[in-house]
This record gives sequence, structure tokens and C-alpha cells, in this order.
Amino acid sequence: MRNLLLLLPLLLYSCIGTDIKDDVIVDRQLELIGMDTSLLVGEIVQFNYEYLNQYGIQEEILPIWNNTNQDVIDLSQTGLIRSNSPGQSFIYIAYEGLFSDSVLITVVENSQSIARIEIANPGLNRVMPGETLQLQARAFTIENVEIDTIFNWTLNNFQIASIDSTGFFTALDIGMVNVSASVGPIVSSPLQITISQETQKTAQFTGMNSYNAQGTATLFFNDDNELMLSLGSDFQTEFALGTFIYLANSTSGSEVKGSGLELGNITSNGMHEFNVTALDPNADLESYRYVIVLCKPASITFGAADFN
Amino acid sequence: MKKSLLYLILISFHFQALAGGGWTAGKGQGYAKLSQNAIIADQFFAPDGEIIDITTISLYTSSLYLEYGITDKLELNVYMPFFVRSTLNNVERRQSGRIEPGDEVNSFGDTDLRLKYQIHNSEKVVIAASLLLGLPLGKTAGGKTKNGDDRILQTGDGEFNQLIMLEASKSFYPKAFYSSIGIGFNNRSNGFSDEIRWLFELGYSGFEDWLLALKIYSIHPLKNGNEAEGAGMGVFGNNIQYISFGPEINYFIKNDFGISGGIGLAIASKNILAAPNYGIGLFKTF
Repeated sequence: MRNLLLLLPLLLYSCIGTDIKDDVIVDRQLELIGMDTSLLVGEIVQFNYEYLNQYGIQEEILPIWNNTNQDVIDLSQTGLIRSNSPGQSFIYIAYEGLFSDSVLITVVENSQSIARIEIANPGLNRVMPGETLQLQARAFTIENVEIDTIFNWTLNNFQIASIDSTGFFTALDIGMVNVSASVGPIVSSPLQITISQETQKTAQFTGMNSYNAQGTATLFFNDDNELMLSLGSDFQTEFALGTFIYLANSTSGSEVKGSGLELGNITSNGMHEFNVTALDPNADLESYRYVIVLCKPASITFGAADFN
Repeated sequence: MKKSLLYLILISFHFQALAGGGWTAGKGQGYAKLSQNAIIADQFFAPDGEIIDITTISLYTSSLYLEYGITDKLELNVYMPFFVRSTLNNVERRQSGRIEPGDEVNSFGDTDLRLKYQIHNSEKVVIAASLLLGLPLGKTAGGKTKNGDDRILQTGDGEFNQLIMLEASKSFYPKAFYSSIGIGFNNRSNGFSDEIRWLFELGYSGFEDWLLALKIYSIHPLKNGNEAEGAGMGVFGNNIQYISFGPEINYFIKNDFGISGGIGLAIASKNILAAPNYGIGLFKTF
């Protein structure tokens, strides 16, 4: 009998268990590690890459290294660059249909030559047709000494935008356009500007898993060019302990919890505002399809607003 | 005749002690039980009754239950969950090995005080009326979020129950069966919906030292609460609905001391964890 009594207290405690679940499937990512680079003739530099597979796990692969101008640099299939002659070349890597962004390699003869041209970030990479931007460029030597010079401005698509010799940019029609500044043969990396009628997105919540959720969600850029999410005064949802707002590309509770962007806990209906840029600096209007009301502890989706 | 009468008394005593229902303990007599219950749920009954997968939530309750006869007809019941532990499992991602941390909270639980009065006692049936006060002594927000805020687990619902109940019981002596039925109304505070509760119990004591029971218990919310307030998760939410059924086995090690075990399964449930409630306990009559 005493043994039976001793058994009961042992049952009072139980450790936190562990659920084993598959990782959320995400878009693969292939990136060159490193920024635009300037080299003197004869220099050698090693580039590396990072590949994240469909589970977001870093993985060693054998990518194909590509070089757009073999007169300027030699590029081995291990990422080793040897500079041959003055000029510019883009390098990028490819793996199973996936391509990295390009990195611009500039090779110069001496330390007095222009080795890098930068277009200052205008602070707003999304404009509406009819809007204008005054762009600025700066030129530097390989030793980072700024050179006062005059730039030539060009676009890859004059159908949807125009730019004059002072860098005054005018958006004409919707689309994406690359702006470049050059001095002689040296060109800047392109600055991508999106021209869109859409400066915000609005969606209505609907309940899921038989929970109630309703009201308006709005994604927009504020005056500081930060992406914000606003829940309107008509926003209503059911609550559990740990009711959180997420941005996600799935409505599955487990996937939202695993790969969504957690914006914050809510405990009341009505207006709420979240700074998305503060949590994901690269987020824009297209980055996430859904706003999710998630019971985080149990990973239950109470409601979703679909921007598509 | 004497033997038969003794048998009836013994059965009745068991009924008084273990079955509750319309029976009361009798002045100075009673029943005490130390129990351990566990619910480990990786599924949840959504508000429409659909079963959905969730991160595993567990609830472990250590409780003391007491019945004491103040008079022959008036009985005091106390249910005191003196240690309640709720856990939220870690999630380990199979391919990456990434861990999403779980959570835990330990506390005293919501405690019930009940006064039961036997209003009818005949050879055919005994009937009792009771008033239960459910004291919200558990935690309505515990554990830690990643921001360090207390909120996502609970060991109580945070509302004050006032349950009135009418129960009737009948012994089928000389057959070793008994049954109880009951119906009640639970007035709940803090925006929670009021509830209709009913129960049915069928017991058998035909095996020496054993008492077997099949228990059915149901809660049906009236949906008259505030949808936006008082909501919870697990077994503490608003508008919980279920029909629970399951066997309970009691074994008398001595005349006044025994061990019990039972399982509560749920059907037609809404807004509650979808997992059995396992219970074991030690009881003593006095």
C-alpha cells in the first residue's frame, strides 16, 4: 500500500515532450556571398555561395559558376577569380534551374581609375506612373577615394520610364525598370525601380477551422517607406491564449508557425498596426499572400485575409 | 433476510461512497480520493466538431476529492486540484532539426465546493439537489512566450461557476446493479456561456471487492456568452461541448480502502482537446 502511495507523486511531473514534424517547404535560395568588387589587374579573389534547400537547410552543392566577360576575368568552377584586363564582368551561379543574383566585378589598371559607381538609394524603390525621382551617383577609386565626374544615365526600358542627363527619373507606365549610371566603360550595378499603381493592398478576413474572423487588413508603405500592416476598426476574431498575427504564404497552422513572419500578439478586436519592415527589411507588397490569425500554442489558424 | 439487508446496506454504502448521485454519505461518514489525471492531446475538436491536428498540449491534474456527511441528508463535497501542470510540446522539424520551444505552467487549479441535500429517499429511488460553486483558483495565463510574457498556457478558466444539479439514483437490489441520472444548469461569469449538464451512470458490484461503473457526462453550452471574451484553449475555453463516456474500475483492497482507474472518452465534442482523460486514484471511506 505504501508503494502505491509513493507512485502517485511520481505522476505529478512530466517533462515537456517533443513533436516531430516535417519542415515547411520553402523556396530554395542560391546566393553569392559578397558584394560588387573592384580588382587591380592580376589579383585573385575567392567567392563563395550559400544554398538553402527546400527545407531552408544550408546544403553543400556543386553550382555552375558563370562569367559574362572572360576577357576581363577568369572564373573557375570553385569560385576563384583571377583578373586579366581592365573592364567589367558580372558573375553568377546556377544550380538545378535556380540562379543567383549577379555580382559586378570591375578590373582597373591602376589605383587612380574609377573602380566603382554607386547610385544612392532614393529611399523609394516603388513609384506610381507620373511620379519622379532625382537620382544621385558617386564614383570611387579602388582605394575608395571619391572622384568628381559627370555620369551618363540609362534605363533598360525606355517604354515605361525616362531619365535625363542629371538623373531625373520619371515613371511613365507600370513595370520594372533598371537604372544605371556610367562613366566611360565603367557602369554601376543596376538600381531596380518598380512602377505600380498599387501602393497598398487590402484584403478581408474570413474564419477558418470553423472559427470566426472578419474585418479588413491593409498592407501599405508609410511616409518613411516602411511596410506596415494595419487591421481595421472592423477587425474581429475569436481569441485563445496566445493569439498572434502572422504574415505567411500558407494558411496551414503548422506552416504559418514554422515559416511565417510573426508580427505580434493580440488580445483585443479593432485597430492594430504592425511594422513589417522592422521584422523583415526585404518585405514588400508581394512578399506574403496572407495575414493569419493564429492560435500559436496549438498552431490553429483562426482566420486569414488573402491579398490575392 | 438479515443477510440480504446487510448486502443492500453494503451496496448502498458503496453507492454512497463511489457513485454519488442521489445518495448522501450520512452524518459523520464520507469518502476521500486522491487522484491523478492526464490528458495528452495532439488533436483538437474545432468549434464545428471537426478534429484538427495541433501541437501536443498536455494537462496533468493531481486532486483531492472529499465527500462528508454533515447530517444524514446534507453532504459537503470538495474537489481540490492541488497541483495542475500544463505543457506545450517542443516541435522538432524532421529535416532541419530546428526546435520550436514548448512551454509549461504549474499551479493550483480551479476548486469546486458543493452542498448536496437529499430531498427524497424511498426504496425505489433517492433524489438529491446540489449547489456547486466553482472557484477560479487556477491560472488563466501562464508559461512564457518568446518575448517573455506570461500568457499562453492555463490551468483554470478564470470564471466563477454556479451549478445547480438534480440527481436521482436507484438500486436494482437484489441484482448488483445501480444507476444514476442527473441534470444541471451552470451559470458562468466573465462572459462565458452558461451550460446544461447531464449525467448517466450504471454500476455493477457483482464481483467480490470490485465495483465497475460506466459513466456518461455531457456539457452543452447555451452560447449566450461573449464570443470575444473569456476564451481559452484546451479544456478551459468558452463554449466547450462534449459527451464523455468511459469505464471506471474500483478495487477494494480493504473494506474501506481501494484503488480506482478510469478512462473518459469524448464524442460529439466541440472546442476541446480531442484525447482521452486517463485517471487513477486511491480512495478511502470513513
